[in-house]
Amino acid sequence: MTQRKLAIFVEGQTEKIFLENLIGEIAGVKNISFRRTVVTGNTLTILRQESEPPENPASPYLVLLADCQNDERVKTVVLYQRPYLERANFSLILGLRDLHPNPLSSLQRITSKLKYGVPTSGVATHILLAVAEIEAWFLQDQNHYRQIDPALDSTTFKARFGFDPATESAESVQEPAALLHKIYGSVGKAYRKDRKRVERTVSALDIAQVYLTLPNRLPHLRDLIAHIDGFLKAESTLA
Amino acid sequence: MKLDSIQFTEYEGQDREWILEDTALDTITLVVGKNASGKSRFLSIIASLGKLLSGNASQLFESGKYLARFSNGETKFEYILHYENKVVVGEKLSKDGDTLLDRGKDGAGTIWAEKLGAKIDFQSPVDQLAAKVRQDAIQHPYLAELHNWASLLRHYQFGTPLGRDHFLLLTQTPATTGESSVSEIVDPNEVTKLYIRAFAQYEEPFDQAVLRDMKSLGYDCTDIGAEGADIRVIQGPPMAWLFLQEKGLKAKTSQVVMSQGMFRALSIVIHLNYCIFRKIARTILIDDIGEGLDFSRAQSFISLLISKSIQNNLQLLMTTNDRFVMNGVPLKHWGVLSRKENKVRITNIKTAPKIFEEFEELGLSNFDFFSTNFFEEGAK
Repeated sequence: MTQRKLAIFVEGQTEKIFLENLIGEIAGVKNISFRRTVVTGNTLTILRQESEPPENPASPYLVLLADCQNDERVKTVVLYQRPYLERANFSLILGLRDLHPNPLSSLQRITSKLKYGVPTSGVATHILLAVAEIEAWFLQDQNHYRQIDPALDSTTFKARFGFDPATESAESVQEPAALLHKIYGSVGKAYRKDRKRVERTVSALDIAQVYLTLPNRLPHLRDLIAHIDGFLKAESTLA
Repeated sequence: MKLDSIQFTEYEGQDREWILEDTALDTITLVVGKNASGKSRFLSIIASLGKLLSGNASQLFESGKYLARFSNGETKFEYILHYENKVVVGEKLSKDGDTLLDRGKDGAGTIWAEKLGAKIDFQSPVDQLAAKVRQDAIQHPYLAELHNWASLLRHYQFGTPLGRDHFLLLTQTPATTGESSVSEIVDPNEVTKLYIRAFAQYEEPFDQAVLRDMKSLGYDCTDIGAEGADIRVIQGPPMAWLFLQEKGLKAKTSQVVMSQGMFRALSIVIHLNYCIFRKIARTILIDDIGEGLDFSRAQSFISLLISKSIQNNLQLLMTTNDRFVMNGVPLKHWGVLSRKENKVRITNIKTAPKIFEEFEELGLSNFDFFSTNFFEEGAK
């Protein structure tokens, strides 16, 4: 009777909030238990919110979400925590980092180095990229703008902001968060990385579209989803 | 004046020869290295040069050969000093490539005389630095620049009490002794005396600066001061000690009950702010920075030191092997010290730019640059 366990290490709360929503959507009716943690000085501290349901050891799947709080580099924490997670029978470890502030021109170079230092045996471990940052995935979802403000018409964005979410890939945008802020700003709203505003954007996303359609235009989101899909498709012996 | 590079050899050509290869130094340099690699020695070498040039060393050391380069704005100085068996065997100072002072082992040499507009012969004692004994503001004003750098140089060892176990005899406060506020307080342990002097000169703004810095480190205090030490705790003649009034506590926290980490931070903050209030550029050496501080304080402390140094024209040279400190300092400020046999080398972004650039793209913490020996070979 084994619970399947996935650990995902992210840079900050934006990625954590997004992934909780995304994994919840992907899992659908599957009974997933989340363990939310923050990383301080390479150690994991379990973060509990009062409204949160307690972790359920009977759930067939456990997803540990680790927020590195932008203090520690994701890869470093992954490599440090990996032996402990392996000992605790985790079957997959993912680290999600931004390309930003490196330029888009460095993408190939950085991609070629993602595996550097990551052991190839033992628990499957992958370092994934959000290009240039996770806000690219928000930027791509043309359905969410109307939820933020009915006056936001994404068909006008190409002319006004130089980017058309319906036809272009947001992975070619150098500073997605800044562009999102600019777009929201056109109707007097703002995008910032504080919890309230990130939650507003994430709850406005059409998560089904993010899962099913956006990966066609966002190869790095596709990689992430493929790993999560693979984890959930493998049968838990508790399921 | 800023120290741009240093090279040092001890016991040249002998079995116990020890070499620090030519090392470029920036305005902010964090030297990292394993235990016993020579980090503390690196700073001690610079501190010793300062003592020799300022006259704070009672005599020459056994053996040493320095090549130090300095800059003051656009002006570049190069100073070479070689002594063996406590006797100077060579000394040379040049400014922008022109030799101003040159002497040999018998003490005889030539020195540029500004007012005369010529080089003149001199004879100095063989066990004395000509750069020190030939001080003359009219004929050799350039020597004063070297001397100023040396006398303003400060060396703190963060792993020591930094004055926590030192109290000030009330009869020796600057007010009671009439001591000049111009004379330098060099001893890092004399922090109570330094605080009293600083408050006398700069009053409330000095306190506020110290309290602001302490707050940024997570020590929220409403007052700082020096007061008569409790005679039940410190017996003997009347003494003064430092205290902080921590927010939320009714009683003051005197230096004897402060945690070691808190007092070390306070001591450095007082010393640093005094340097800043005096508005004089100088070089500050801090060995084992962050020692005894927890994760978040170590990172806050290093950020504070770096930002204040950059803002106030201070050169900050530090050593550490603390992971949290390393992660808090951008790699561009790093020098990684490694020792092979008797040779110590410091690798930095100037000596190995490709390795530093390559590492930045790996997405690892700075500490990994050091702990994986990446600095030596890059990605294999």
